[in-house]
Amino acid sequence: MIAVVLLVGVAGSGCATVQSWERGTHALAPMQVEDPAAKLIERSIDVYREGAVGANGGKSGGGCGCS
Amino acid sequence: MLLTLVSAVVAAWLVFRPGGGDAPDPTLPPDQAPPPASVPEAAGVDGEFLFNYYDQDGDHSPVTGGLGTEALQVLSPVVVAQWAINDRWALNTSIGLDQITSASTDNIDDDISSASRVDQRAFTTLEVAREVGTQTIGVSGGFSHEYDYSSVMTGLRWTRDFNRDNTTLATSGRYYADQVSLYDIDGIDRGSERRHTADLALSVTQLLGRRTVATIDVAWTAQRGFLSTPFHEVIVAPSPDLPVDHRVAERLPDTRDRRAIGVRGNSALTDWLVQRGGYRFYNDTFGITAHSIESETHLRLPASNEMWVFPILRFHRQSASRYFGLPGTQRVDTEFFTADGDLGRFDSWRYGGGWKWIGAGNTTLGWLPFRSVETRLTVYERSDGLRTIASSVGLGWGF
Repeated sequence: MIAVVLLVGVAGSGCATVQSWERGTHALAPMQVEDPAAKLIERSIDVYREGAVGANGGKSGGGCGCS
Repeated sequence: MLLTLVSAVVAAWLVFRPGGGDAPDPTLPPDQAPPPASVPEAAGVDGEFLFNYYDQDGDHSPVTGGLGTEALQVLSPVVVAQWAINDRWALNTSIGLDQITSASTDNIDDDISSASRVDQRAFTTLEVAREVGTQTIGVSGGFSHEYDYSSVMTGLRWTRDFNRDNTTLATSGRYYADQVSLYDIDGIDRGSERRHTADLALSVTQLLGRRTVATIDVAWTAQRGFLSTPFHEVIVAPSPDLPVDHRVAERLPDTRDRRAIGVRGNSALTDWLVQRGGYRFYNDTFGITAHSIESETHLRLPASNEMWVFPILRFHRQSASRYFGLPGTQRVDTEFFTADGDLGRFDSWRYGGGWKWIGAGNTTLGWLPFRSVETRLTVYERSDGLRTIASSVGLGWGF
């Protein structure tokens, strides 16, 4: 329920539209929403070594990482 | 702890501050919104060579009942590539080969003769993506294999942009059909078992002004089948009926549901200072509850192209699974138990730094036109003594 409320809240906050010509700053490398590929190994560590799967925590299947 | 709290407050303020920093940005040309993740606007091939190295050590390996060495090294070269066939269709692929050297897994077979065992894990994924107006649909498949574990993945994702591309809704589902080889604690191969995993994820990304973007992620994972690791040992509690330090195999339930929700945001405080941060909450039916918070503060260096340096900071706290126990504390007649410290209670810190350079598109490395370089080096310390170092170098290229 909390998740739904937050999702609706964020989606609804888009009333102040940013025009395409106003998004120069959003093109900067650190402003990209997706994690860089170089961060994948850190995500893998989190998945194997912690209860960290899901919600940007990486995949949950494949590989045991079991040592 | 103090640094984490300060980072969290700064990250939250940057994400949620009123207006989100609406000052115009005169230094960059207009209309430079980030391209879609999977279908580039122009035909061509982009990719990245990744060179990852991982080293860990500790003294609580579950392979030896929670008492032995956890020494492990992984060398992992990976290639990711994206072929934009035209302005609608794209192929995304990745392929890699992990070289794993582990001291503890040497103990799971009959031939305990070397200081370490070397294994390989090969993996590949392929996605076909199609863009239709403001929507993107992707169908994917993948495969990974190592000596005792195979995994086949199928996936589907859908994204849609709303509100003049200010809002992006993304959903994805993945199913993993895995096969676990049953090498038991005596190193005997007892066949194999199945493990099924379904991942569902939903995210909403919203521009919160000219300088701030935020994302909320919700994820749910269901696992069914053989979820124990067959060669993990548990040293059971002393009993008159059992020999001293009696060891049995780990036993875990055959169902596990995992839930997570996270919020993350990026905000450009100035044209040369960008704060990235996020928080995630997690719990599962094994009884683990976890909180994670992370921060990266990117500082742009004076250079003709984009060049950034950044410190990396992350804190994680999780409670123990109800099935976890220290060596010698579990009763042998208990239905489920494990000595795997990954399922125990701990705090962990990750700290380190990175450097990123974005080229102007006219730099070549031999015959290869490369566009970016990113390096990251982090140290991870867990309160139970596990310590790891991870380093990664990514070379981005494109034609």
